[in-house]
Amino acid sequence: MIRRSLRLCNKRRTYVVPLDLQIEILSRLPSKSVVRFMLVSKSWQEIISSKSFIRLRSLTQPLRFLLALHDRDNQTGRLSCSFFSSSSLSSSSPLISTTFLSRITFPLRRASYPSYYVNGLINVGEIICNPCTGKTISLPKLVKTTATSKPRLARRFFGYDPVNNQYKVLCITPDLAGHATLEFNHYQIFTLGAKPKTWRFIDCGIPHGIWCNGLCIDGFVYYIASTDVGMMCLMRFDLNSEKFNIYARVSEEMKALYFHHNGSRTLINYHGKVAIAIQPSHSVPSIDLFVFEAGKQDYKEKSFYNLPQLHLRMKCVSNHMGDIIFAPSCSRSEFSVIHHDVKGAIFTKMKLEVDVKQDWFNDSSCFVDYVESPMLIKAR
Amino acid sequence: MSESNKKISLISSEGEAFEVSEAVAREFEIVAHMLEDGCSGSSIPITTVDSNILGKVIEYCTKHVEVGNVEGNSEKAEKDLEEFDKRFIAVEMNTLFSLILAANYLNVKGLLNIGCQKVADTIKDMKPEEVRSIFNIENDYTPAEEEVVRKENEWAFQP
Repeated sequence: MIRRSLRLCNKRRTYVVPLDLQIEILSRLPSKSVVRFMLVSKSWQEIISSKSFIRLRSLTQPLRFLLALHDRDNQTGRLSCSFFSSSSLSSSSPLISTTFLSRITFPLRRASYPSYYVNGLINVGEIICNPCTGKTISLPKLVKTTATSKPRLARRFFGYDPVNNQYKVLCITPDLAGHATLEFNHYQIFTLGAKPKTWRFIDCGIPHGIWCNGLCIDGFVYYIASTDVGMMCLMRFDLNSEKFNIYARVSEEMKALYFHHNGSRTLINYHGKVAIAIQPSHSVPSIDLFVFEAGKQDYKEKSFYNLPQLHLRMKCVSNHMGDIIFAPSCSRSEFSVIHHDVKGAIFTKMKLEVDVKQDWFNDSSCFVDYVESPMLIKAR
Repeated sequence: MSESNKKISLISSEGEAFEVSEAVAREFEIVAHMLEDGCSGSSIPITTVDSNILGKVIEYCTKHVEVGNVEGNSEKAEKDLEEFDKRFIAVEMNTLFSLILAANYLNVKGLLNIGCQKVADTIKDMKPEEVRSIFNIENDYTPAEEEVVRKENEWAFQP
């Protein structure tokens, strides 16, 4: 007995946990702990803030559900956004508890921006933020290049390039010279963390106008566009080479549904393919799903009828299993989503428990493949 | 099935022999490789692991081999195994680290996995000072440097 305790004491002094095991353990910690443990030693800080460690964590951390609720301060008129996360929706329980992550307030008063989520970070309007830490960074001001360019009408897309581990914002600004023909559009790129912190102009061989919000899959940003010869298509932007190409054509059937004035449409990742979910009108309880394939015309994959709770405009997101989540685009404090399980073809209404005081939100966004990221955005 | 009945002796750092079935010994990937490389000896020295820890690792592998051999009723078996893992890994820090180091050396992936997860779960709410003492890491920050890191990441230090 005495011998054993002596040995333990000895061990205690010479105890060495190899570096690879330290990293293995660190990669399993929640973001908050990881960031706090940067204070343990300089070598731990180096490990934790390295790109390779952040990438390792993004592969091993469980996927979560991220909910962003937008509301407006009545006094200042400023828009705020609160973030909540929960464990993945795969659980069978219809009631899901969420954890408050952070709340950010926007410097500008504007009602609706598209929210983009990629690999731990969110882009809303002129801001990129980390919902986990609540840290934000403002995008640099767009340069007004000519008297007729309209930075206020700019459209932005947010994407993540896994090859170079870079976050980029693509911005397309119309120029009203020459009767607003598309060939005068400006195409600019902002790379997060690059110096100097400015937009870079890039060339686009295919002048086009934009018809929807973007979707980023595996280093490509996709969106519906129309070219200068009037062709409607799915445009693809390669975040690595920064080149555009026409990925697929839009069918007449889809086009007919697309432009209903009170309809809604969302690009989703459907089993790794780009698909668009179109609800022709929010008074109709049906959604059509069209799938795009490279070089072809889209085809209707399926229609969903009699979705519950469809008196609201719906947004759709899909998770890595191919299940589709239908969520209302605005909401009261009782926040429900409809989980459509592709295998069993069943709809389950799931209620998310959110701890908030307000009972009405201007807008809400859900993201199903949220990974907590300790990615440190430094405002400097 | 004479193969699976074959016994192999694993020798701890103190020289104590543990007789196990080949199937259990093969759970140690390092041993499996030795056997495949034609190491025909029936006793294998595990010089870096002491009797106490080697006994525990064998207990873990034996249970997992047993459960793996039972057919059908997989849901219940899986639950039992989960329970077993939970109880098995509920040990004090020194033993836990010895188990992880042994699992790493012997290449027992399942044990390494639950061990690392247990350490992560245990330290996740700790202060940096406490983590230093657990990993025997010396603080190489000056108080001023410490303050900078703390300030830059204030959110992580709030309860």
